[in-house]
Amino acid sequence: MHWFKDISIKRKLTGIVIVTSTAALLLAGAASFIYERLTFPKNLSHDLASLAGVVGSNSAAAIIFNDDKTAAETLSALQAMPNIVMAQVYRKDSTVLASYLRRGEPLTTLEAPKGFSGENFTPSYVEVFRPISVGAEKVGGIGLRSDLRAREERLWAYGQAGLVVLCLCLLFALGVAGVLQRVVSLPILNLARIARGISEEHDYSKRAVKDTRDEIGSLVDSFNNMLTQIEARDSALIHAQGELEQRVRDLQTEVDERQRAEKGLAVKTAELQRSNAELEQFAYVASHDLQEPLRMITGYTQLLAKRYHDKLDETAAEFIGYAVDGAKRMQGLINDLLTYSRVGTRGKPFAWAQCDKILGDTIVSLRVAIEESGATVTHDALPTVLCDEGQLGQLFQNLLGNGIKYRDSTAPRIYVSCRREGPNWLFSVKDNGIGVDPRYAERIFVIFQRLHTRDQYPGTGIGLAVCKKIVERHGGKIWLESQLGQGATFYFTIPASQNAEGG
Amino acid sequence: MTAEHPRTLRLLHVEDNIGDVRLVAEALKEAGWVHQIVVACDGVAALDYLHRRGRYIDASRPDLILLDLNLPKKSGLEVLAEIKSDTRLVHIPVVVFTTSSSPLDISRAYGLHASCYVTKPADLDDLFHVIAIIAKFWLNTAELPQAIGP
Repeated sequence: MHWFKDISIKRKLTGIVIVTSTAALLLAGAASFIYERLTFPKNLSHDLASLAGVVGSNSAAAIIFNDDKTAAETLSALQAMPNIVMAQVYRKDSTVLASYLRRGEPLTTLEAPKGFSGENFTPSYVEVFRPISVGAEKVGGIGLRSDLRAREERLWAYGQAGLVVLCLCLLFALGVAGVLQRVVSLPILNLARIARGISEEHDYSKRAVKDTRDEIGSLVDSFNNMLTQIEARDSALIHAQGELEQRVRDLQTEVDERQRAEKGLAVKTAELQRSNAELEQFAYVASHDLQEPLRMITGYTQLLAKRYHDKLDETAAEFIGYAVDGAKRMQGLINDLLTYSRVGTRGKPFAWAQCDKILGDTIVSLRVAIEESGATVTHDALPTVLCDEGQLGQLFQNLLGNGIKYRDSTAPRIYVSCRREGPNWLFSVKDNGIGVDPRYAERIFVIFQRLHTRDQYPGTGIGLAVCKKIVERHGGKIWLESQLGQGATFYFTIPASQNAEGG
Repeated sequence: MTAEHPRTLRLLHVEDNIGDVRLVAEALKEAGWVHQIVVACDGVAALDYLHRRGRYIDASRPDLILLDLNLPKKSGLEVLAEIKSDTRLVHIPVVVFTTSSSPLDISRAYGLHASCYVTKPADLDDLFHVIAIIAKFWLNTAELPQAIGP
């Protein structure tokens, strides 16, 4: 039945009408066929009996006179009845007086029953026997055999008529189907056409027209309801899409702006890095190249003093002393400048390192100074940080060295501690030294800035500048909290974990 | 003490600063150096001398080389690389003697098989001291290879 689902309603309707009418016709035809087939022999035998009566009474005289010729003539009148195959007239003793055979039939005999009365029904013919009487006396008998050709002819005619009726019925069915289609499938086809148009044009404002109040009418209603909902959703969707597009455009603008800003920033950073690198390279090369002539000055001044000390007076020796001292200080400054520039140019990539170990190593390397000054260095547990281990060591060394160097009469006590503050580790190095006037708390980090004469405390003023540069390279800050004469605490931060720059 | 050395040694001092050349010479003299000192003022001259080219056609191979790194024409490291890649020169000990204390220069020099690396001290006394140590080590402590071939 699957094919049935796939054919159009119009064809289904036509098919149903045709099948229904054909079935009705065939049933009616079959009923009349069976009826005809069953009743025909009986009717035929009635007809044959009447015929036998007529022919018998016409043959009575011939029997009485044993006139076979007349009897044969009488019988030959049966030629007019094409269905009569055979006829025989019997004498009283059942012998055959005369016979009639339809042309072309083989010669046989009809066995007359006793009393000449009876009917024989066979599938191919019907036989009827009747006695012939004159008055009350039975003088002989007659037998007729008829084939069933008439029945076939009649059935054939029925069949033809049935076929014609069937054709007419089919024509009628087609007409009915056409009408039904207009009534049933046309509204559905209309609906389908509208639906197709909507799906092609995406115009959800169209509506199907409702003509009837039957199932198709409610289908149209449902369809229109659905369209209303779709239209609402469609407009909501279009609205949302518009908003989304606007948002995407805004985002794109923002992204573009950010990219532009980032690009500008990258260019500036690159420029800054280049100029920084150039500056550091300059400082490094200058320091190196400055060393050579300076070494000549100190070398030869010293050689002069050494070789000719007995030929020079005291003033000359004093002058030479100033010259050597100046040159040596220059040397020191240049070395410091070199150290300072190396923080940037000779820094190592960052790696995780334990500050406990770094500080321990620093204390070991400062052992002589610690022992000489009688200093005590204590510290809390320190964290593991991402850093340039060598530079962090230098940082500790400079801060500890400062604490030892700038001491008053008491033995230095230095305490290093660390705590977490937001994303950073906050280190502190606290001493009990001479302290710093808060006015100079920032100035001391500037290169070659000193608060004391070289006689009081030796040095070039590079240590804290290097500390600042190291901390800043690690992405941190360094500052000082102090009061004059009350010790000092240096604080610096190191990011706890982040993409610290490896410059 | 140095005078006891059985033969006259030859030191090639590669140095562009004549002030330094003189200071080193003075320091060597003070340390009792009686051996020959040959000076090359740039990298190319040093290599010409070693390969006996041009005006150095009759030069003799040195027993020890004192090599500065900052040199005109060809740097000390380039000279060192050429010496150590030449089978006729590779055995000559090379003492790098320079102002630079840069870790990069130090590791490069040793990477090129320098015998040792000494930074020039700024102070005169230190300089004399260091030169005396170098002279003493290479003359009295270390065995130097015999000059092979012409």
